[in-house]
Amino acid sequence: MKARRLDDGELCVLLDEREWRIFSALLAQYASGLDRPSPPSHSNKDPVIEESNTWLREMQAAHRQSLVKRAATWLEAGSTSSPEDTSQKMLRLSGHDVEWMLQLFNDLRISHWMLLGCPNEADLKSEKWTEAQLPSVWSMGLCGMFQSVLLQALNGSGKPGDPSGDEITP
Amino acid sequence: MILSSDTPQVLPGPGPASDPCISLKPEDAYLVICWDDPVNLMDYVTHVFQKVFGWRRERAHRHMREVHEQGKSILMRESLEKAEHYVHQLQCYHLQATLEKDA
Repeated sequence: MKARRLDDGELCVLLDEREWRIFSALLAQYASGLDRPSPPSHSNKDPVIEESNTWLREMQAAHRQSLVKRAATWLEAGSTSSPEDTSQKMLRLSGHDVEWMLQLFNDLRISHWMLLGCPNEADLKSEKWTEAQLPSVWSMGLCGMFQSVLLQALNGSGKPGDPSGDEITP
Repeated sequence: MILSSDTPQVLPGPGPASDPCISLKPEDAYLVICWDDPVNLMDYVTHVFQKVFGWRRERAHRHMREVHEQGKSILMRESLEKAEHYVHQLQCYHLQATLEKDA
């Protein structure tokens, strides 16, 4: 996978077939509405803040629904093109697209992290996971990889002529 | 009071109210706090701070380190409405953000 920031600010992302399958599978997984435990709520004795927290929880739920819808719409639209003579998929992502994808991959990572019981960093790297838990461990890693590639491209590496590139193979 | 999540984001500009040094009346001041968690990527948190607050990378990175090393960072001191707006934006990126009354 390679990502590069273009002069107009958009990101150009190139994925091979396998990367594209994983990328679209993660988006589809999110669009299908992954079940996850409820996030912890922050209670506060201050009625003003409690009212704010209630509103914030509602807004966060609404935002998650809009991300789910956006992922489904994006997948349906088949927002890719294939460069000639290659099996690669090319995405051109606007700044807005990059932001919602970063949010989506992060939410998906957190969802799987919660499904795994909110392990700490050391436990995440352990190899004590059951077979049933492995898909969540892999999904977390893959979402993190896609986030990292997008962030590196946003931060300037991966520009034309930059040999450091952002090539990461899942 | 609120921007819907589908509304293009219009963040408060870098005016005086966005300056944490500005004096809000204590009864009107709320703190925007981001809490550490073991799941968010450091680069991601830095990016979110840059995006939500319009900060330069160095400042965003400094607050990210504070979250990581001290468990939390106070990001803004604002009126209730603006503090809510910022917490909402941070929560859209799924960071653990809360608002508290400034003591």
